[in-house]
Amino acid sequence: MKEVFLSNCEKSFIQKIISEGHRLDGRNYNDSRKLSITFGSGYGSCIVSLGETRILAQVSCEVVQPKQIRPNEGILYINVEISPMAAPQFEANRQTDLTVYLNRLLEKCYKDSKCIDLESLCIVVEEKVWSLRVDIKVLNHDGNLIECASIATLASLAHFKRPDVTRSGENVIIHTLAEKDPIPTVLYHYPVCSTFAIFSNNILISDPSFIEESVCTSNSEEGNINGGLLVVGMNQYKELCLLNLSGAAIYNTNIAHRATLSAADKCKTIVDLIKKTIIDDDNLRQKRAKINFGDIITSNHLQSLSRKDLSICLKNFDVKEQMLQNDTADVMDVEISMEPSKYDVVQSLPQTAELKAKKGASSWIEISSESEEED
Amino acid sequence: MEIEDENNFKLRPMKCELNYLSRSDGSAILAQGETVVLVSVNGPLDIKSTSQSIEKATLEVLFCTKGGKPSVADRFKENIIRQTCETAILGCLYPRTGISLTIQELEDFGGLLTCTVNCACLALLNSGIAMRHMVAAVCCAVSEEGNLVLEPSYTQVQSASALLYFVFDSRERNLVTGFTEGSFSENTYEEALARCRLASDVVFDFYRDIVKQYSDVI
Repeated sequence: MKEVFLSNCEKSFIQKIISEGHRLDGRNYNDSRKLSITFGSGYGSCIVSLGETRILAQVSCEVVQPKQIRPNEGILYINVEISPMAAPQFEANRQTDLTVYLNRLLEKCYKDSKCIDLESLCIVVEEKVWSLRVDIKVLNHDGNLIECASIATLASLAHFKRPDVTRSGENVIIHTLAEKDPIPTVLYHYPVCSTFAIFSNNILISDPSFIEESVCTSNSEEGNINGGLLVVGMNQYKELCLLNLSGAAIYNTNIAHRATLSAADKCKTIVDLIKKTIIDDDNLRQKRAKINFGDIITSNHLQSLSRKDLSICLKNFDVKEQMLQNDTADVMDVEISMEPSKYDVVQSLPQTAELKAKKGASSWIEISSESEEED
Repeated sequence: MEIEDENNFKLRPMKCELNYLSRSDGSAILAQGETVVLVSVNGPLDIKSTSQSIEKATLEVLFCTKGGKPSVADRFKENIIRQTCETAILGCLYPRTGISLTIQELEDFGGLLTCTVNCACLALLNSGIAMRHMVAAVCCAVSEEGNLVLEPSYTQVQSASALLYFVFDSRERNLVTGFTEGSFSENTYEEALARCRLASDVVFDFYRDIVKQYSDVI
């Protein structure tokens, strides 16, 4: 399917509200969406969700022959895949510019910054080394894939443990997880990417959503791009590992400096969160608790629409208050009151509301004793 | 043909969430025991003219494993799911369009295919694509002693001498798809088929419970 075209009114609306200090989902310029990391049953698999953007990462390892020029170093391989699951415009098994871009950024951030001790992955020099493969699968694309993918990569690499090996003469024995405790990957430092959308060469917006990303990299009315995406990779010691700009050139020297300052604090909190979740997960595993991706299935968030929340949220908006006042002048109330019979308006996040099917008697169509699936 | 305690099926506990993904037309994440699968449905949408059919919608199925490279086994699974879902979807309502079904394996502890088929059916229900009937898959293992085990666990799958998979429709409980691994006698097949057919009721009841939570009309 072709990509949904960004309309001029959407574009100018977003540019306008951003220049006035607002964002579509009610965040401030520096706010990120909610970040959550869930680990799967095996070592090195995790699902990271940043707002509605969701990414699955899986690390696997195998023994291979090392490269000729680096005979005593293991190999790190990163592979990004975007399937039609992420958004309908992507095609299956096809490399797009976005996949190549993501792959290259992640390689720069994790391979070129030398955060992994590759020498510890060596088993026999010039013969056998561990090759780590990180598979990144985009499940839902709602903007800021880079930041989400980098968190997923880092979390899965830090969580991953490889089987222990012993050498006896010529032979190398790989022990199963039951025989010997597996060995964690050694990370010297924890780099994380954070993305900033630049609007009108002056305003920096952290963690842009899908529509904000497409607006800031699109052409303006005069035909030239005056915004862009700035990716800053930083580790927990506030050292810069990666800087990437797509879109228009920056002529405001202040912007890159402001972005790095803001990224430094953000990366620190993200790395702390990753470390904390890994320690919590490790404690649970030692108590032999069963950890599984099935845990992400919740029943406390049932919507009738695939959009989790209405994508427009207002600052200082309370559904309950609005319902009491019965204020139909509000845009959001008008939108909701179109289908009053089937859905209830419930409060979800502080500044937003969502539609939910009314509880109670369901009107299933019963056809004699036969069946009911008239979809 | 003897069926013991026929009303006492112990299928693995099922857990499901619909609308898990915001960018897809329909999506479902289903856990059957410890096996977890995520399915997204997009469609009916515009596809390239070479794969269009003037009679019905073209169903494209993509199966993604958790890690590693795609393999022949994945293509086999895609084929089974495509054939199963093609019978269930009323494709003649959407000629010259495509419906794409993307499957992501999250955890595999046995019975991955049954979980995938069930999850695909839930995602199709969620997407609102017209269907002839629903489908429910049930797996049955023949243990080394020759006993039948419904919805086997991971260790039971590893030690089983044969695995039998059946998919039923929701109208008459007719067999839609059936495939097997390993060797078994004809009687065992008949007995497993009868048992799985009865167990499919549990799955259909589960579908109904889930869909009821999300909408009051279907």
